[in-house]
Amino acid sequence: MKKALALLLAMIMVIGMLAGCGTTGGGEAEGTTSDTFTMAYNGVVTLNSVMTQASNDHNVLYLLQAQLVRYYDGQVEKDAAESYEMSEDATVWTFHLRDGLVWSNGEALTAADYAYGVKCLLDPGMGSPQASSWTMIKNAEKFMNGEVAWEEVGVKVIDEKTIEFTLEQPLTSFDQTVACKHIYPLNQAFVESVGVNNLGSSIDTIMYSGGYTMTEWVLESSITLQKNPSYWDAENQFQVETIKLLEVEDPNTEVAMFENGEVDAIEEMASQYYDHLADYRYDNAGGGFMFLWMNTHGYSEGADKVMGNVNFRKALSYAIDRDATCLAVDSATKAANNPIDPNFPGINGGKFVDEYPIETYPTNGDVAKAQEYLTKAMEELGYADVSEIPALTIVTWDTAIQKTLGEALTDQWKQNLGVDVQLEQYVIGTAIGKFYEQTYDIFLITWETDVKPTDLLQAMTSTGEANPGIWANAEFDQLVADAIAEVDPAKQAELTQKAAQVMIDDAGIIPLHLNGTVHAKKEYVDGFVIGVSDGFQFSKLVVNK
Amino acid sequence: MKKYILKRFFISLITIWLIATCCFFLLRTLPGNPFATQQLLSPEMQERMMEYYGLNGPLSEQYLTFMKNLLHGDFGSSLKYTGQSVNGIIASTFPVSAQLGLQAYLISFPIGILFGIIAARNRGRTIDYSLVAFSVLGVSVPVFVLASLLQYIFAIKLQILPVALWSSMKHTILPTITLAIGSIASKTRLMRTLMLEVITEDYVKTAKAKGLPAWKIVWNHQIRNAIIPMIPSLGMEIVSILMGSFVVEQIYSVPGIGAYFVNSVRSLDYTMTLGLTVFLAIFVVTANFIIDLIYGLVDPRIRVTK
Repeated sequence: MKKALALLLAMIMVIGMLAGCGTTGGGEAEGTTSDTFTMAYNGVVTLNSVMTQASNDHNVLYLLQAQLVRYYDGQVEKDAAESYEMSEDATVWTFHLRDGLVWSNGEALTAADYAYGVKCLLDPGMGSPQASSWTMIKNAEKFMNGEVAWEEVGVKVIDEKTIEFTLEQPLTSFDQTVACKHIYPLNQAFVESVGVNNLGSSIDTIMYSGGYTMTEWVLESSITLQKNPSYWDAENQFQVETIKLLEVEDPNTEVAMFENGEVDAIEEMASQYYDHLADYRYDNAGGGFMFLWMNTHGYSEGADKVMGNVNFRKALSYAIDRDATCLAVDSATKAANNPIDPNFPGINGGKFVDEYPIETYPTNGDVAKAQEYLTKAMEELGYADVSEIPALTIVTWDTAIQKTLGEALTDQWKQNLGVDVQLEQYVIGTAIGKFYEQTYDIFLITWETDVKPTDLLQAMTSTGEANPGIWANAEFDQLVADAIAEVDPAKQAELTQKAAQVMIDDAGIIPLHLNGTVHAKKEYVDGFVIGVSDGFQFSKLVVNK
Repeated sequence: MKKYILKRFFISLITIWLIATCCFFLLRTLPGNPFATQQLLSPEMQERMMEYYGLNGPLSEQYLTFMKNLLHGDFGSSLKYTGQSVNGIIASTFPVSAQLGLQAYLISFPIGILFGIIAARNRGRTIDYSLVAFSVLGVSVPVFVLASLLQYIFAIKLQILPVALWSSMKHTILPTITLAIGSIASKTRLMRTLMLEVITEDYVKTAKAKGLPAWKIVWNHQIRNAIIPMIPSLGMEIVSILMGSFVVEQIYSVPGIGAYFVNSVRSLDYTMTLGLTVFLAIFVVTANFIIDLIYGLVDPRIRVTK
C-alpha cells in the first residue's frame, strides 16, 4: 500500500510539474489577424426578426440589417433613413430613405420592404410576439385582432424612398421607439418563398441589408459574419472584415479563452471574474433600476402609520450608502438617485439627467440627514423612542445576490437609524404574487426603463402597471400625464423633470441602483460598443492587433 | 431463435410507445407555458402564441397529431428555435456527440480491458495497486474538475491544444480524453474483477497442467470467459456515450446534443424535449435489442432458458 501511495504522489507531482512549466511569452492564438474580431457571446435563439422575443437575437440583427434608425452609444442614429420628420401635432412621422440602398443579393431595398417588415410584426396570421410593442401605430391593434384590413393601418409607402407612420396619439419620441423596438426590412417575395416560419433559421433563409452577411451558423455554437460590401456606408462603417461570435457556455472556459487570446471580448462575463479581469472591464449600467417599493399602507402590524409618513420613508432612503452597497453586492450595478435612466438622451445633445437635473439624496447617503428625518417622523407620529417603531418587513426573491443586497440594507437601517427591518425571501413566482397582493412593507425588485423617460414614470403612477396600489400622488400622476401628452420637447422634458422630482420628494418608489452588466474586451479593441438593452453596435469597431 | 427475436422486437415497440406517451403527458403537467419564460409577454400575447403553435386545443387531439407525426418519423418543430425542426437539430448535433463518444469509446475500450487484464495478472504487485488507484481516481474525480485541469495544463500552460470549441481534429483531443478517462477507469475495475474470478477456475488449472503457454491461457480461456458479463454494460455504455455528455460538451463548447436536452426542459420546449427523449428511447431500445441478440449468439444458455 505504501508503494501505491508513493506512486500516487509521484503522479500528482508530475501533473503539478506539467502545470507549473507554463510558457513565458506570447499568449496570442495563431491564425487571427486584425481583420477578424472574435467574441464569446450569449448565443441567439433565432434570427427570424418577426418571431424573435430575445434581445440576444436583436444584438446580431443589428449587424445584419439596415434599420431606419438605430441606437449608437445611446443616441439615435440615421441608418437607412437619410432624414425623417414628424408633423406638428406629432402624429405623423415620415422617413426618407437614402439613394442606392440594396440587399446583399443586389435587389433594391425600398420603403415597401420596411412597410412589409412592420406588417409581418402585426399580422395576426404570423403570430409575432413583438406585435404588442407597436400598438401606438394607428389601427395596429384593430389589425392584430382582424378587425380592419392592412390598408387601414397607419403605415403608408408614399414612394420607393418614403415611408410614413400615422400614430394613434401624439408621440414626439417615435424615432426612439423605432430604434429601440427595431424595424427591420423584409422582402415580401423572399419571405413568401421561404415561409415566415423558416425565415432566419439558417444562412440561406435571410436577406441581408446591414453591415454584415452571415457565412456560417451553427445553432448554440458559432456564427461567422463577413463584411457586406453592398451596405450603403461600407466604406466608413463596419470596417472589421470578419466577426466570429462563439457561444461558450462555461464561464471558466470563456475566461481561459480570453486569456489565451482565442477570443477578443466576452459578452457578459460571470461576476466571479470581475476582479480577475478588472483591466479589461467594459461596464454597461442602465436599462433598468432596482427600486425600493414603499407600501404606504403598511402591512406589518402598526406599520401603516410609519410607512405612510413621508419623513420616515425619506429617513430610510437617506440612511443607505448606495455607492458602498453597490460595490459590495454587485459591482456591475451603479448607485442611483434619479428615476430617469442616465443613458436617455436629452433634447440639447447631452444626457437627459444632466440637462434636467433634480434635487435628490446623495448616492453615498447622509446619515445625519436621515436621523433628522427620523426625528421629525417620530415627532409627527408621537413616538418617544426608536424602539417603539413597529418591526417592518422587506420582501424580495430568493437569489444569493438579493439576499446580500437585502442584508446590506437592513444592516444599514439598523446601524444608522436603529430601525428593525426583517428580510423575507420567496421563490420568484411567489414573490411576484406577494408584490401584487401588497403583503409587505417594502419590496425590492427591478423595473425596466424602456424607450423614453416617461415610460417608467407612467408605470409608477397610481394606475400604472408597476404600481399595485402601494403609493399614490395626485400631483405626480398629473405631471406624468401632462408630460406624455405634451408635444413640445422642452416643455415635455420640464414636466418629466418635475414628475421625477415629486417622485423622489415623496419617497414612494425609491431608486436604489441601476442594473448593470460587465463585458470584457482586450486593450487592442477600439470602438467596442454594446447597447444598454441590446445591439452589438460595432459600426466603428477596430482591432489593432 | 425466430420466436425469441420476434418477442424481443414486440417488447421493444411497446417500450418506445410507453415512453413517448408518458413523456407527452408528463411534460404538459409542468407549470407554466413555453412563452412565459424568456421575456415578459402579456397573457393575451401568450394566448395568441399558444394558438399559433396549436397548443391550446384538447390534449387528446394534440396527442393523436403527435403520434401520427411520430409514425412518419417527424418530431415536429421547436417552439423555442423558430423555424428549426427537431429532426434537423438532431441531424446536426447527434453526429458531433456521436463522434466525440465514439472516439472516447475506441480509446477507452481496449485500454480499459488491457489495464484490467494487466492488473489481474499482477495481482498484489505495485502495478496492480497503481492501476487500482488510477481507476478509483478516474471514477471519483468529477468530470468538470478533470476537464478544467486538462484545459489548464494543455491549453493554458503548455499551449499545445485549444481551450475549447469543435472545428478541427486538434479540438477533439481534450474532450475525448476527458470523456475516456472515467470510462477507462470503470472498465479497468470491472475487467480486473472478472479476470480474477476466472483465474481460479478449474479449466484454467487444467490448461496450465496441459502445459499451454501463458498467453494462450489468458487469451483462449480467461479473457473469453471473463468478457461475457461485460457485453450488456457495453451496450448501455455505447448509448450513453453517443448521446453526449452534457458536462463535457458544455465545458469544451462542443455543439452536441447534450445541451439541448437540458435547455429544452428548462425553456419548456415541449416538442424538443419530447423529440429528443423519443429519439434517445429508440436508440436505447434498439441497442438493447441488438445486445440481446448478440448475447443469445455468444451464450446459447440465455436463448434456451427464455
